[in-house]
Amino acid sequence: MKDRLSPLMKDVLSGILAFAFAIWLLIGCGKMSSYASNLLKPDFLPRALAWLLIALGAYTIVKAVILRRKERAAATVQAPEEKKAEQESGKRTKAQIFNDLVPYITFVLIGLYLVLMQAIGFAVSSSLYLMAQINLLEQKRTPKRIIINCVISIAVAVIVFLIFRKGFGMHLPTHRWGGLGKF
Amino acid sequence: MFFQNLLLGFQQCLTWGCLLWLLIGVVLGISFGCIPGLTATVALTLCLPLIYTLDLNLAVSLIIGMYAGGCSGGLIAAILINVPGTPANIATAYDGHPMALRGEAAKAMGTGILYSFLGGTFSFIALFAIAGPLGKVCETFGNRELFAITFFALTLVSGLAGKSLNKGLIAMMIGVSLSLIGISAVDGSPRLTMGLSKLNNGLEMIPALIGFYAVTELIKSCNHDDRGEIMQFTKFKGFGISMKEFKEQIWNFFRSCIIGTAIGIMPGIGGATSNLMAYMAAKNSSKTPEKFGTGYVGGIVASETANNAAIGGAMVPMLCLGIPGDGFSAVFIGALMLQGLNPGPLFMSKSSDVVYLMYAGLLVANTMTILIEYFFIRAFIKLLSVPKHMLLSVVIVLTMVGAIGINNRVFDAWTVLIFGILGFAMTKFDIPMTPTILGFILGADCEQYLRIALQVTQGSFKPFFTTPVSCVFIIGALLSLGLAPWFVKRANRTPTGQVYEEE
Repeated sequence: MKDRLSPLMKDVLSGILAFAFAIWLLIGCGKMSSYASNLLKPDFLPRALAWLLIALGAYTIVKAVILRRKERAAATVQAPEEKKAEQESGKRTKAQIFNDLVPYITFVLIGLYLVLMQAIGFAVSSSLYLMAQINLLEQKRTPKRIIINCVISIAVAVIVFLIFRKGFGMHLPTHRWGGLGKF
Repeated sequence: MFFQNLLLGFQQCLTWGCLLWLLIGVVLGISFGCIPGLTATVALTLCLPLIYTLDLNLAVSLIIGMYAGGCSGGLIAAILINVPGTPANIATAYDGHPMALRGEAAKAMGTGILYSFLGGTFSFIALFAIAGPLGKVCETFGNRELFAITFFALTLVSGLAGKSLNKGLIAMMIGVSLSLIGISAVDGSPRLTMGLSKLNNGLEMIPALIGFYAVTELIKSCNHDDRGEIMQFTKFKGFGISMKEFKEQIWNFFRSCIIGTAIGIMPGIGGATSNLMAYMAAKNSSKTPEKFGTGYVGGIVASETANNAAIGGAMVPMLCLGIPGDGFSAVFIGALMLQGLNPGPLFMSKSSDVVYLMYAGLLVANTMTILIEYFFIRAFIKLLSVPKHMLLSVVIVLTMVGAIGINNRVFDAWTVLIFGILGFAMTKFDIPMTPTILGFILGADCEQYLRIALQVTQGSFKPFFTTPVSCVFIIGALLSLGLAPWFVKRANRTPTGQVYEEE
């Protein structure tokens, strides 16, 4: 996986993630009530973790910014031509941009898959998900390949459903219209 | 007594059923290990619905087989396409692929397979020697000692995993926070449930681990195709390594065994670190360090010995304390829980039959691995040409099935997705995942031990320092935090710049 985030950005985002968890913990602590008297209250650790996360998040961001400033100060001034050449080489093609987006699209697809699974059952939602996912990852998207991928998707989804539902007796979600529930 | 129990273990293991499931496990482990982007941990998460339905002995045999096969399988891709099948084979590619380019692929593969076997066997013997006595000591531990040990494990892995201490600590605290969701075991208070009754029992461990390990790995590898040209080789002649070379590598072998086993014992760190550490140690102590990286057999010996030696090591804290030694053993603990077992300090005595089955299974699976890899290597090489777009998509569906199968609810599949997103974000931001996993597994227990211990001591921390074991581990925890910056600095000097990253 190519890394396009700068070290500074990574540290800043790490700090923000820590803050996000700290806020969630503090909100959660506000709603806590103890049913028993203990030396350590149930909200002690979450609250302590929240403040530690805030401290560590802030430290990570501040340290990254200071380091970045030091690096900038130490760096020599680039010639305009060099800078231009660097920018040119840094330009990405549409295919590269799309490639970088694939993981995020995959997460969205999985989310849609789970929503659909509850609505229309496992087999149909899995077929649709596999069609979308396989064709998304396919390097050579020709009409013939897309059709083959769709056929494979349906076959795999049905086979998986039958193995786990009928073979292992698992309660995979079904729907009377689309989930192969009466198979 | 030990040998009697071990014989009983072999008696259980050498039944047709167990042998069959061991074989299936080994084949699955090698297959998943050799395909870049998939690991034995992914194979185990996919098999969870199956494990749930299997008899205990058969399920344990399957898991043990995958563990033994997975680590060794990664060398195939590392040597033939210069892409390590698993993070535990990174250093194998440094010398294995140059050897393949020189037309010595068979020698590289043979050496790797042989030393995988030898390294694994060494660590299993070490496991038998350490786990039994240590398990007996662990049975006597009370809440103070258990708190100190879990606290030590959390601080140790936070300091060692990744390139920065503060990110390691952030990761560990995120894991601990997530472990606190649900009703508190000490006083029954619901915590951080956000009003969702489904969260009253906390987040399920298995879907969380599937999300972290399997989904993150799959998503990471889905926007690129690393496959280069697959190098060909004719056939094995012995194991490729001459007796002279074998003798030359004896010290390298033993050193790598010790490094691998020792790193395996450390919580949350595993084969991914041990192979690089052993490689560096072999290079630094060699009279001809310039040969390393150019196709030198010593590099393969160090890497493959150490990563397999880490397996036995990783099982020590798992069996004695319920603390995972690496990613696979983390999911292994979850799988044992599915079977109604409770890995922890009493596991060795309460489930001794399962423990001895594991011991016997490890030895048998290790032997199966060397035989299968030696005789059927071509079948596994063919797996390198399986279309990745199909494989990854189908595996994602299977991970969802695995998650749903645990409680028969789609809610757990959402847990997989959320943890997958979290894991992916953490990878993007260079936050190590191992501390989060360990924090998630141990966090709630650590707090519970502390709260109960404080009730017993009536709020005093003094007894924590007057009990020798807890005192040693609390000091160890503080030391590990204090020394972490030095370790991180050293880690950043290694070939990859990131030694202490999880599998």
